[in-house]
Amino acid sequence: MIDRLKDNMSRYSFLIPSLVALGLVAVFPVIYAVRSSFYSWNLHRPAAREFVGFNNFVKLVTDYTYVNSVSITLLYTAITVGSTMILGFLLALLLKKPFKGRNVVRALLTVPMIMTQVVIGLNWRVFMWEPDYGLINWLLRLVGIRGPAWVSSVPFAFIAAAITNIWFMTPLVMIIMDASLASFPQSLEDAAKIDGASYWQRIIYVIIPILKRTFAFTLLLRITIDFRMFDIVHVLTGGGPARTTQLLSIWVYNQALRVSDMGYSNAGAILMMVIISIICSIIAYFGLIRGGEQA
Amino acid sequence: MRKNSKITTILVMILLLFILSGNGSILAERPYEGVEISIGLLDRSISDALRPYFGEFEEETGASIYMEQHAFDSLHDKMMLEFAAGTGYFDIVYNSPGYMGTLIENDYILPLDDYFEEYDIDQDQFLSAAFEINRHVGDETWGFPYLSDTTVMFYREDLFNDPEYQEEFEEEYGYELDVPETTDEFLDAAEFFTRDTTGDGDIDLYGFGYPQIGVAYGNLYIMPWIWTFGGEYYDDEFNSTLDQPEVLEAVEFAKELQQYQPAGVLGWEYGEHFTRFVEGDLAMSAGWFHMGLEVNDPDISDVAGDVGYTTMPYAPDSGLETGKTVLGGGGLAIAADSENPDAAFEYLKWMFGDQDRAVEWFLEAGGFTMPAVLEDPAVKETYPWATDFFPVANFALDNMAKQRPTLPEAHSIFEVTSEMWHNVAMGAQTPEEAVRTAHQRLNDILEPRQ
Repeated sequence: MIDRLKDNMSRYSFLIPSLVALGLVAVFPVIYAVRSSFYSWNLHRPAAREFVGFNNFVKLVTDYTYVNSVSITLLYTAITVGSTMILGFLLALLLKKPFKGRNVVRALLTVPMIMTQVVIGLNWRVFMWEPDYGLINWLLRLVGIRGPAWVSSVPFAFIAAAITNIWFMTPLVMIIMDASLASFPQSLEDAAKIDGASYWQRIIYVIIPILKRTFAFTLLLRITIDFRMFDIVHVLTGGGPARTTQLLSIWVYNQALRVSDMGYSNAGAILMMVIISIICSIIAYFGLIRGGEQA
Repeated sequence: MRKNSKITTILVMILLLFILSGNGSILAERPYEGVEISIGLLDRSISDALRPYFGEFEEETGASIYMEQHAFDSLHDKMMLEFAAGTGYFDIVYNSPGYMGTLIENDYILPLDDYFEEYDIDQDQFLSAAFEINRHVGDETWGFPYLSDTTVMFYREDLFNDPEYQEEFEEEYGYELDVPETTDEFLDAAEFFTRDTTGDGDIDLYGFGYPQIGVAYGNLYIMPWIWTFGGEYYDDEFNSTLDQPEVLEAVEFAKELQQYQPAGVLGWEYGEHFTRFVEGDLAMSAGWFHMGLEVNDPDISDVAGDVGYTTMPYAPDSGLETGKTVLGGGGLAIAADSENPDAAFEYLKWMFGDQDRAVEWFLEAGGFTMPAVLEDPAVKETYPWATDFFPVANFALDNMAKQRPTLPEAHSIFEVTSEMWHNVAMGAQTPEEAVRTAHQRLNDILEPRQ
């Protein structure tokens, strides 16, 4: 009995360094942020720090800037995640069939993913969305349409921010789906084909149900990325004009580093974490746990 | 051995006599021997250009200099951490209008007025802007002159001097085409030059162009127009004054001017308007000092040699004689927890209070705070294309540049005013609606101070 206990203790002791490191870099900041969210703590007046209970959270609910950012983030995430999921899957389907130069196409399609987000934001703002010299409006002019001032008007700034994100993130979905399709049992599709299923029927009734867990995982990944999206939109629009593209992460950044209201900003970040946790838990439950059992 | 020690004793006595008799000036002039002065500055070339002088200062005073450079936000965070902990880490820090309110209201930096008097600093040798940038609420000076900047208007002389344009303008507007002095003339000129010069149906020349993206640029755009029309953000009791008719007038003016700017200006940052101007797409624009220095530089600008400089227009009904511009730059403050504030001030006086050194520093990518710097022959020789720019810059700094709100709440205030402007520019709100909303929001922010 004592030998077993000693054995267990020595085994668990090997985990201590990892747990300490994890605690320091992952758990401590979260606990600290949660604690700070209950304080009135402005870096402009560090000495005036005081415990305010749930005041920061109550203020958030009535703060039009925060509510606006929550709405914008939800809409933005829904559009970008939905679009990239569909486009990424379709591209993966295209790449499933062998053709000459397939690997080159696959490599080229992944280029956006390896670029720095700040560079993407800047390049799209200056070279793509610029109203007078940008590529998008130049193309529109060719077909007789006068394009708008993309990143500086409503609702085009939001549309521009979403499209740039879709361009950037679609390859990630494509790669995951491509890998999943590569290991997909071809015999199942062949059986469906023999039974007379059309191409789209095979995709909808055979491939998608079997890849349900991959879809759920990719969806979770994409939602967590886009819900926290910052760099591209910040560089592209600065959160404007007039807060129309001020995502939650930009709101938190502004409150923390511009207004220096750390307590309030942490409260905003914690609430953001709660929202994303709820969404992800629902998806994980239906897509991975229950969906996994069914699959 | 005995002989050697006798010689040593005699030599030491001679040296002591030499010092005590008043001939030891070499040692006496190094009053800060062993002192280290620690400076926190921005990571820019203007700070780099200070390094070559550190050795000379140490040689003269005995104090060595340690300089740490950070990006704007990082410097703020570093200063706040050190000051809050009372470590005495910095003796001198960059005093930006963006930091000033926080530094002063937490007693982190010292007022320097007594030092200026005690060290007999000739304040007249500096631009008034160099002191104004170091003022918060009230008249105390919180930093030593270090960097002065403001915006000056650039215009295309070749367009304004074109006889065909002159004739056309006079026919259309009933007076001679000239560089605009008033806001009315400015609108007319901006409207006139906004045109399709190639006949392909697209406008390719705009009357004006100025960046307006985000909170910072949005505010820096609308704030000087509000001042130019005689408006203010808040009064001495911290009540919002955005409900003044002058503010509405300024916003309406800006809305009209927006028609004569490229469609993308709401998404522009500083580099973008400069690029468009030097590429010849704008008849008029404005910019900070370094842009003024470069618009006529043949290595940089396609319109070099064709650019004139003037001050921003004034509003005739405002009662002001000049337009208003935003004062930029910053000062150097002495930390309240510095162990060597006298040595720190000695350094500031030595480095930034000497005219010859000021010229040298400017020519090595430094800043300037003295009008004499821009009048110096060596400076004119180095920048021959900018000699017309220098007097305009000096005039604007002394007569037009105005300190922005330096309260710790400044960013929140600028969020309100930039949002007000963006809503008007996009047509989401009328000027009346936007101003009314902004007035309420500004009062909410300022309420704790009222």
